[in-house]
Parts: sequence; C-alpha cells; structure tokens
Amino acid sequence: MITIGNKPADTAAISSEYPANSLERVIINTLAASSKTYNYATKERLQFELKLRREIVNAAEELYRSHLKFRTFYNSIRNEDYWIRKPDGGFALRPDVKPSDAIRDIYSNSHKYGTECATAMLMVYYKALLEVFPEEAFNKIFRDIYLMNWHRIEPELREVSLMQSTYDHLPGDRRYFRNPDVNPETPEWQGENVIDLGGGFYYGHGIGRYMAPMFIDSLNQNRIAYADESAYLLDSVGRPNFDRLFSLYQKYSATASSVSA
Amino acid sequence: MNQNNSNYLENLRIRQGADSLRRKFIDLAARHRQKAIRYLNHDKLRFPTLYLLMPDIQTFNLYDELIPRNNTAIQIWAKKSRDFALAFRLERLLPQDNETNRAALKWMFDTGLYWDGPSNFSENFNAAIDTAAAMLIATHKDMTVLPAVCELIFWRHRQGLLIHDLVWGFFQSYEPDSMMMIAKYLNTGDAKDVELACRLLHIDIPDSVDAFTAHNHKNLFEQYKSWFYENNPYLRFTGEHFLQTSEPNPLYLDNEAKYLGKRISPKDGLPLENVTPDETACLIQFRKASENDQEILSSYSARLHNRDFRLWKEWIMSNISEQVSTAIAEL
Repeated sequence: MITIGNKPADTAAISSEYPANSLERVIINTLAASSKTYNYATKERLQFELKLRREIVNAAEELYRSHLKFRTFYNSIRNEDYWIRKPDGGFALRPDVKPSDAIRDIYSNSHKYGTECATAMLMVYYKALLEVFPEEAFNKIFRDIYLMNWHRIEPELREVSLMQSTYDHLPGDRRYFRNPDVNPETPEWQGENVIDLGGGFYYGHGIGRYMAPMFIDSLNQNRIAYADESAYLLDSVGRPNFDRLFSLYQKYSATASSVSA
Repeated sequence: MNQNNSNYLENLRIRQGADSLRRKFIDLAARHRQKAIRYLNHDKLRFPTLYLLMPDIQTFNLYDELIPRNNTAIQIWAKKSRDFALAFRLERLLPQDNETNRAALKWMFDTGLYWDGPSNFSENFNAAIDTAAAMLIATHKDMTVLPAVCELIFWRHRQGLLIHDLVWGFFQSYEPDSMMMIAKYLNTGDAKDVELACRLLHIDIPDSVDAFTAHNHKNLFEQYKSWFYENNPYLRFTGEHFLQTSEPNPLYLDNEAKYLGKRISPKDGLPLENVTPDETACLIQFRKASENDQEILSSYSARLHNRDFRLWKEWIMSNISEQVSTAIAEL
C-alpha cells in the first residue's frame, strides 16, 4: 500500500502519469499491492524515487550494451585522462576533471575500462544520479568518487553497499547471487552483483543481461570440484537512501532555480 | 631436485635485480639449456625468481623438463593471465596427486610472501599468492597457513594493496578460532590495523582510532575475546564478503544452539550433537519468547551450563517465564 503524508495515495492517478507497461507503473503497482505500507512525505518524493529507479535501470541497460571489459581488480583498466588507478585496483577521480565528465567517459569510451561486477554497479548508480541531478549539483555533491567495490564509498551512496531485507523487490534494486562453493582459483566468481531490470531480468557485469537461472548456471560453472551447493539469489537488496538523495536534490534544485531566476 | 645449498638464480635476483636475472637467464638458456633447467628445478629456488622468469621459460619452451612444483606455479599464473592454452598444456604434464599440488602451493606461498617486486610484475604475482593461499585453505584444508595469511592481510592493507581475495580465502577455513588471529590486531596500537580488525570482525570502529589509548585497545580486544569464547561453539560462518557488502558480518550467533548448549558446525550451522525430545520441547518454548528475552535466555543458559550442569538441567526444565525471571535476576 502507498500512502502520501500518511494518507492513502490515489495510485491510479499517479500511474496515469506514466505510459502503460512502463517501469514506473510496474513499481507503483508492486508498492500498491504490497502488504507493507510505503509512506512518502510528498508526491514529489515518490516521483523522485520512480525517476531514479528508472535511470538506474537505463544506466544498467546502457552499460550492458557498452564495451566495458570484465577484469579482476588486479588487472583493472581505465581511461587515465579521467581516473587514477590505485594499488587496490580501484579508480580515483582525477582532481583536475569534472565528476560528470569522468562518469560520461565510462559510457562513451567504455572500451578503455575493465573491472569487476561491484565497480560496474557503482558506475550504474553514478550515471543514474547524473541523469537525475542538474550537472552542477552532481559535480558539487560527488566530488570524491572512488570506483571499486563497497569497501570505499561516498556517504551519499553508503546504503547501496548494505544489503537489507525487504517485502518487495523492485526494478532498480541491487541484488546479489552468492556462489558458496566457488573454485578458489576464481574468487571473482564468489558472487555476482546485479541490478534488477524488471520483468525477471537482471544485469550483472561479466555475465550479462539474463533471468536468474542463467546467472546461477554461470556461477555454478565456476565451482570447486565435487561442489554440493548451488549458487543462489539472496532475498535482500541494496538501495540508495532515497530520502537523503531527494533532500539533496531539492536543496540544489532550489539553488539552481534561484540562480536562474 | 638439486640439493645444493645455494642457487645461482636466487643469488642473481637478490644481488643484481630482476633485469640482470632475466638477461643472464636468457643467455644461459640459449647456451646451456640443461643447466638452466637444473637451476630452475633447484630446491632452493624461490617463487619470485620463477615468476620473473616465466616469460623466458615460455620463450625457450622449457615446460616438459620442469618439476611439478614449477609447472603448478606456472599453471596458476597462466590461468590468472587468461592463457588457457598454456594452462591446459601444463595440466597434462602435472601428476594428479593432491600432495604434489599441496606442496607446490605451499612452496609458492612460503617463498613468495612479502615479495615487493617491480610494479609491472607484482599485481599478477599477488593474485597468484592469493590463489595459492585460498587453495591451500579451501581445497587442501591446510590450516597451518592461516596465521601467515592473517599477517599478510594486515601488511597489504598498510600498503594500500588489494586484500579482498586474501580475506575471502582466509574465511574459507570456516574455522572460528581464526577470528582470534584477527582480534589480536585490536591490541596492536596501530590505528590502521585496529580499523581493519574492526571491519573484519564486524565490530564498531571507535570514533577516533588515532586518539585511542593503549588501554582502550586492550579493552576492545578483551571485549571481543570474552564474546568470542562465550559464543564460539554456537557460531557459524555467514558467507558474507566485501564483494557483496561494505560491512560483511562473517559470523552468525545461533541463540537456539547456545540456549541448549549444543555445538553447531561452523560451516553450515547444523547441530553436531543430538537434540533430545525434552530439549526439543524447551526449544519450542524458547521460540515463543521475544527476541530480547531469547538473547537473555541464551546468555544465561551458556553461563549456567558452564558453571553448574545440574542446576542448569533444573533451570531449563522450568517454565519459560520462570527461566526469564531467573536469568534477568542473575545476569
């Protein structure tokens, strides 16, 4: 069930603002049909989450179609015009470039980049945020981007690195396939971070865009000899803190409006 | 294998460096192939030297005459470098016995630890060391390497190097006692070590690690130690790692097992001792208690079980509300 300001929301009216069969309608319908009550302070806050989830899915689809290579952290590669490769295999933003340009470069020069699945998730989140936030705001908020895995992450995105239990799975969620019996020669296949694209499809860098059984089969092919446990999809999800991001969005949008006015 | 006390190639690497080693090896292999092979197969050769010479071994196609120790190491490197044709070729040369493989991995790990080679070489080298450690632990169940792996994790972290695969390999032991190897770093006084130890043990990082006094470090260690020894028999590994989350919690405490005083398998959480019908009845009552009461009951139960088994038997057979009252009064 969806409530706005603690009152039941007119979900039909909100849905009608989006095309039939759109991702936004799928999300609204899932929330509305849930046994859990999803309370939003304002309609704008709900619309913000729908927009960001849509852009997360778009960014994931775009990265899937790109030429980003799969490399372990030991062999990761990047465009050195924008990123400094650190000894742990992560990429730190060069101090002399704009964050927005560096994120766009990953997509426009994807053949110059190669990394693991967790880094690809961060690339997706930053690209989605770049589509939602005004560019100037994005560059002010995300000045210290470090692309690796969840070990070093900016506070604004901290929650995507933590898995939480959930009543409902939604497009734009981060999910994780775990491979408990992975071959110790290939620890990079101990699991796969994916973005839920909706319709039962997931994108995970290194495997691709498939439904869950294909991810499980791929991971199972990288198990230790005589393995007895299959890979599986965890129920928990990683989600950005939409409330905090919406507050930042409002703050910077208001600043931008007052400047332009 | 040659048993002489020193090795020409080792001496070259240590005294003259990597470039000189390679130049002289290429010259030697071109003129005295058998001698070059003898030096490579020498029992005093160390993994970093073999590693530096791998491209030249390929150039002179020496694989058929190398001992399994060397070919095992080269095969791991080939897989890390995605040279699957070479890996497949070496597979056919290697004997299919576990002990040969284990000894080769142990040689790689023991002689390769802490090698700080040329930067263009060291990353794949570290990847090979990670693999050797993980295979020793996960495949060969060789737990003797755990203390060295633990030290290497903290050493690499101080250098800003990648630790995640090594940490993953370390936890593949499913050995709860290994957590105390990490916990010792809470007591070192080094801010970076304390922070990493907290992350690995999933305990709160003190607000200002730098300002932490030696006394506080000791407290942190003692608190963990006390928690660990109280709960050790009832802990299982969760399988959470840094690839999945920024705050992996490696251990899950099974309060039901703790309440009954029944040890569980740290790998899959299955009970290692039979549960009697009376104990099953106790468990049914326990599950009806609130989460908070369950924690109180399991803590009190573990302490009473250790202190006075006869009294514990009486207590656990009383009704659940009496159990909670006694536990709250005495904890």
